[in-house]
Amino acid sequence: MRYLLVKFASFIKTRKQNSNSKTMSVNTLYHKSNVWLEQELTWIQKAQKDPACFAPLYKEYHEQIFRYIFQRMDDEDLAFDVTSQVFMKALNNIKKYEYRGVPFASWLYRIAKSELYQAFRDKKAERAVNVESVHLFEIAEELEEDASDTNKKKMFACLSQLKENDMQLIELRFFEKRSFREMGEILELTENNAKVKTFRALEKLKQLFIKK
Amino acid sequence: MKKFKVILDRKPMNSDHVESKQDFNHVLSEFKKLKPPIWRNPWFYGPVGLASLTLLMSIGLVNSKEIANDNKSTKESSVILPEDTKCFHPIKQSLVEQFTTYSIDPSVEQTINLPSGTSVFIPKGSLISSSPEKKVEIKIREFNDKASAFIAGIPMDYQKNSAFESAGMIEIRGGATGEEIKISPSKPIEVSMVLRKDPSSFTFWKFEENKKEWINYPAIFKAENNSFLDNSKELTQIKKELVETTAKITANDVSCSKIIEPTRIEKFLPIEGNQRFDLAFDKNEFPELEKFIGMEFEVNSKKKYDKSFTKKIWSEVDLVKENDNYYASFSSKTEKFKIGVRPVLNGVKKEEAEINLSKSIAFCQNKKQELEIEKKKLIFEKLQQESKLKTFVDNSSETLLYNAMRREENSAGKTNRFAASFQMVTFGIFNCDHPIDYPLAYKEEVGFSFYGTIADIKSAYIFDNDKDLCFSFGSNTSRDLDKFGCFEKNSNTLFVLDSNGRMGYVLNYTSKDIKNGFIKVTLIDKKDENIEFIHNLINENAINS
Repeated sequence: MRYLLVKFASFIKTRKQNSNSKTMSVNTLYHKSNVWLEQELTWIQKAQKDPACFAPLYKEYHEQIFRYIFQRMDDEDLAFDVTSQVFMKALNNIKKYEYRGVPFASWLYRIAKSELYQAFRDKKAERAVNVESVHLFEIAEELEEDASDTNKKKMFACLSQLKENDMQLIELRFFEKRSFREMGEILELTENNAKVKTFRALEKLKQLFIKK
Repeated sequence: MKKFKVILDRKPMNSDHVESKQDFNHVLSEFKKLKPPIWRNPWFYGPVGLASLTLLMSIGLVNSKEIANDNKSTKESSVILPEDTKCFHPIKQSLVEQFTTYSIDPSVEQTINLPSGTSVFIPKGSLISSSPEKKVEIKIREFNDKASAFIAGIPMDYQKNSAFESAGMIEIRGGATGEEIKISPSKPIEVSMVLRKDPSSFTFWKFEENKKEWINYPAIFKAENNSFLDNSKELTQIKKELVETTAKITANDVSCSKIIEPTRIEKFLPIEGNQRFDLAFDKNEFPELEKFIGMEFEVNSKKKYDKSFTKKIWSEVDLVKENDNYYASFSSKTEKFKIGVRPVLNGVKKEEAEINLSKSIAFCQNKKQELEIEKKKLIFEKLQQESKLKTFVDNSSETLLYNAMRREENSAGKTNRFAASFQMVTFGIFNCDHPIDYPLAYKEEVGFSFYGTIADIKSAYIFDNDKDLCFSFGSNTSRDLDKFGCFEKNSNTLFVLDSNGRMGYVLNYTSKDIKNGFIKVTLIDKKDENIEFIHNLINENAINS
């Protein structure tokens, strides 16, 4: 199991290096400068007074929220509907929003997560996981396995056996390349807890892979 | 397991396409259509609101009555119980597994069934308190994982050299109005504790709080469905043998009782000291007596009689037969006399009969002797079987019994959950454990650091991620921090506690994590100081279930 920890540490490093790659990440706009955050806060304060002033925030976050939702389902139209629903909920609750160190994006992600699972509960959509081949090769490498087509197929089969909680962590970390801090903010966990849980999820995936 | 669809290499969506779908005006118009919630409407507080409020209050009152009637309560007890488990040192008091309190009427037989499946049977009159008419309170908490036992600070070391791997632990306390109650030794409380793992190599223990050590405690491991008593071939065999031996002893007694030595009466032989005389009779009247050539008649009476009748002169002497018994009747002018008699052999026939009688008696005696020898053997066998059965059921028989049970289960291809059954005459904490030796200490003492700053570590714990096992070092443990070490082959989590109560960890800890004599420890955020996070750290399966 030790190799997992070592590889995990190296993985964190690799992800940091890759975080600027546009093709790999779906949330390159997540981390903001202080100037930008101040601007964002101004928009929020205006939107709290007048919902019409929410427009810049909508424009800013629409794509990443849509991609977060569409990543987890296989119905484009429904993904756009759920995205609209997220922003409607955000508008409805914007007066309650207070900046407490958690970025506005995280607040939106939490609403998105809630709306998404509501859609699954209402059986409007089926939970899906979108994986790219390159992600499967990367995970195989993380688990010290060859990045071969055989292992890719095995990994693909193993993913479908993971529990929802574990899948969610793997998805955020490995398919969406999110930092542990960001994962913690979305999942309402601390950074450390997100790390530990992801590590355990990876261990479970490894166990499934060995059994295959 | 909830399934989901995994899609491989879906065609990526262009950002322009996503942007083209943006329609803030639509979102804004939909938002405006949203109605305010009903409780913001002033009419809500009108008659409908009041009616609902009344209804809610009524439900609340009914519920409160139901709760009052319920025996079980996890809330603060109205009766102050004596201070519990003083010798335990909780890691974090706020996270400690809480007791569930049950209000018990000691004059009634009761069974407490816990959610885990564990049951506590309290016989009528088992609980002795100074006020027998009042209810007593029984507090129970189970430690169903290593995190809960760890957080509660229960010493899990055995004789300073071993740590316990646990299969289940329960703490049971009792009290009434602030004073500890006692359990009647003649009516012990019976507990059937569900175990969370295969107890093949485990034994049972009770924590001796005065000595602060675990002592071996009699318990029986069994299948949850209690079928082992019938299913165990070994046990059944012992019982069967015992029943068979007992039956043999009874049969032997019966055979022995049936061996009846022939008597002189049966063989028509005279008995020494009895009065005999000749008596003439009509052979036609008594043809059965024809074979007794030269026979005599012997007085056959248990009653006292005048023995001089043979010397008297009788005018008439007759032999009469009444109900298969012979009587001799004598009469004269002045008196009459009647006495029971029996015919007895005389002469050669008597000698032959004497020899036959001796032979028959000898045969019977030999037979009896044989049976007695056999009986002695059977009694010895029975004692051995009883002793075997006692060993099987009593004291250290758990493993034997368990093995018997396992063999039976394996042969039947069944998988059972397990339970430990024990009787308690004192309250306390009971544990099904297996001691495992501590790892060797590192040659050089190690230090700990939180983010590059040397940490003042009070105690360190090595959790084995694959077993319910934790090795403890430092304050409130049986081993000092300088004896710190770990098994390299195991998957471990290091957990530390500093003098300020801060907690830290190292995932998958091995000695390779020691750099320049220090172990870099990740500090646990205050928000993560919860049981779920600790479960996660030590890889307990309960986390995601």
